[in-house]
Amino acid sequence: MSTNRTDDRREMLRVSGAAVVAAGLMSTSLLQPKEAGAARAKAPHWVMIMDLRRCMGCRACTVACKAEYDVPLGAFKTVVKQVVTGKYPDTRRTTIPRRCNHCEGTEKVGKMTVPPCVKVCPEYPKDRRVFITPEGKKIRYRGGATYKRPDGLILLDNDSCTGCGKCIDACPYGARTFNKRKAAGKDKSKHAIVKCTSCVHRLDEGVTPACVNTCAAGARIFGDLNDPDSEVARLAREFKLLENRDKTTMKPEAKTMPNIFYIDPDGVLADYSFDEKDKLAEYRDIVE
Amino acid sequence: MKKGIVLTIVLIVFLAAAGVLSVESYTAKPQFCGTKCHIMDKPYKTWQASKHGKSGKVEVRCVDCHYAPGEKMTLHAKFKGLGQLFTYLSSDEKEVRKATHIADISCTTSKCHPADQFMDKKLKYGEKKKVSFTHKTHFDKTIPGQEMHCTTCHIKAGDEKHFEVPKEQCYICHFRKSDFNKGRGACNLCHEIPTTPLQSQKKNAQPDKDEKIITHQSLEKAGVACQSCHYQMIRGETALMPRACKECHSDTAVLAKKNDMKLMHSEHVAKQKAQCADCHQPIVHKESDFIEAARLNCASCHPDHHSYQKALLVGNPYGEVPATPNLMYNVKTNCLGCHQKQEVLKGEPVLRGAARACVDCHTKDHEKLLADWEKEVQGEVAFAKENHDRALALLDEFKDRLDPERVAAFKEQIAKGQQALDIVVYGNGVHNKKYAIMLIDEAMNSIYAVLDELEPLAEEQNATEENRQ
Ligand code: SF4
Ligand code: SF4
Repeated sequence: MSTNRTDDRREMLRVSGAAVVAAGLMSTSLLQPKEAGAARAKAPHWVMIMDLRRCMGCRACTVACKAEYDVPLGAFKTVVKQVVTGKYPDTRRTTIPRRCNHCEGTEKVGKMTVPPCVKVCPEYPKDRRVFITPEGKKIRYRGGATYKRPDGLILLDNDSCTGCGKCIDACPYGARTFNKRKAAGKDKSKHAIVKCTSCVHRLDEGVTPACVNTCAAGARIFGDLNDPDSEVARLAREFKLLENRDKTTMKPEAKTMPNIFYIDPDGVLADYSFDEKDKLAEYRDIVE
Repeated sequence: MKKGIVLTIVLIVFLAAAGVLSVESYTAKPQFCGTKCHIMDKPYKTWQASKHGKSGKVEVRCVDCHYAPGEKMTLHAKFKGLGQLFTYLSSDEKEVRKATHIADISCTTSKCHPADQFMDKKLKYGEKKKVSFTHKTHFDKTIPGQEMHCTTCHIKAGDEKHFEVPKEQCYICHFRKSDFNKGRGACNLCHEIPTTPLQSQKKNAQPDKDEKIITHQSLEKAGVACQSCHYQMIRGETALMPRACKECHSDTAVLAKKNDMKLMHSEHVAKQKAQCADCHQPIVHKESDFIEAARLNCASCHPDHHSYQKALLVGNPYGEVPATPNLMYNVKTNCLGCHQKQEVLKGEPVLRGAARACVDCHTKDHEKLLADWEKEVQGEVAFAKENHDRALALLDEFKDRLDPERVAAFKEQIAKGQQALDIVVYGNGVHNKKYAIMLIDEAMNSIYAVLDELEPLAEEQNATEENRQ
């Protein structure tokens, strides 16, 4: 993590020889903005694919998430919902795993495209940070209470959070809630926020998220979409996940560009809906 | 033979009487006034559109109001009508008389609006029927020299409906020489104070007793003046129109009396039914740019002062920065919402912004907020300035090694960054912290573009120097 959080530019330049080369490459930026854009896109693009054909609703992911993190009682970062389709006696039950979509977002804050939860956070943008891509290139970005890292992760920094809850209101999926066991860093009278972080502490050490690691059925597939050889990239091509976003992601009408894709050959996702007013109930897992 | 004469006389008398009566009833029809007499076009049309005309429940004829009731008054009026016809035919004027006289008694007859029923009745006024109103409170109040009649307020003005009350008529009494939120100008005289929470996220949420709900009523209790948010609601001074007197008078002795309010009102309004707006400049009472209204007030000393502050509050898109209005923008908090602390600066009274203002509306913790914001913005500005200066210094150092075109391009970049930075520096970024930080990023993008090219050169130079040593 620390390698991706440094404020000192000069230190950045000293990171490695590669960085100097990278800076040299970046120097074309003024004249060829397109190439600079291509260099930037080299940051990983983390996505998760939920294979609905495989999920059997065991909720090992929910438990693994609870065990991995300080998820308080009554709150969940990942849940498994279910939907019943068909007519008696020919019915089918499909289980749909859910977690924060780490949405790409369609709204702009400066150069970055961000989802509604980031856009609305009054504590974003905050401190200056630098992200080092696997190729050693640096991408400058801003932290905040809720912020987006250049690899697409939507993260939380409780130290700067005032617990205003605007992000809970803004998320169309109900993926965020208050952590009733923890105080917000900047206003101790308010609660902290809890939501999926895509196990960023594991990811930065090169380890897959806990829910993925534990999924016995292999229904959760995680990886870098920018790497054409990755499993996720292969599946995305095979099932045309990116082209058919309105069929492969949850609630496409919210226009947040989710980064959680579903392999859903039976079109079950279309039958699944929840009430906007009741969105917080989405992340309370009740096994029926 | 004698019989024949009597019969003829009876017949003539009968025919004459029938003639008079039919002429009378014919000339009493609104259609006669409106369609035969073309100078009545406009009044006729506005009458048709009004509740007294075709679109109302009962059609009230012109003569029902314009002639006081009773046969004697009718005859009197008919002769006056003939007189008017004569005047019209014998002069070049296209209009005979502008202001009509309508006796109160015409309105308050037992079959129309009897005073005992209408004086105390609580009415709702306005398009949205939100302004409460009673006749009595108004009828009892007089302006010096003025007599209150139905027609004092129920004037037919311009293209409005016949006999309705133009809003401007209210504003002149209510806002002239009266402080916005005091006396006749008090908002709650006419408007009910809303009770819904002002925080959008609490409008539909379950009430939580620990949470402070801000409503218009809690603000009123805290002594927050309405104009600190609704500053823009009243504009204009109702001063006398500069040329109003000279339109009709040239005699200096007459003109000298123009400040005798009592005399002016009795001569013009009571006697001649002049409308307020004939002499007074109109007052505007409606939504408009609420920041501009306050800013102009602050800027009365230095024109166009505080425009950067306004730019920050409004937060329009700038470069890659998307529209980001100040967080208080939606609840229309303008300069005066926060600048409440009176101070004297170089002998001039000024209103300073203070964290106290945040606390008044929010929580005690908000006291710290302003200090935090200030610190954050200052830190950001210092960082940006440092890099800006370094970019300039490096450019100066290496300008001989680069081709002139690139040097010019770099200079332009740096200047572009400086522009974005200026808004934050001169407008004071605390006016919209989020926007200010994004503007600084915008500035930094330009500055980095230069630094990213020049710093490797500097590194290189350092390295060769170290090698030499
Ligand atoms: S799912 Fe909700 S919390 Fe997660 S990134 Fe999207 S908008 Fe934000
Ligand atoms: S609760 Fe915290 S993270 Fe969410 S919007 Fe408010 S400050 Fe940002």
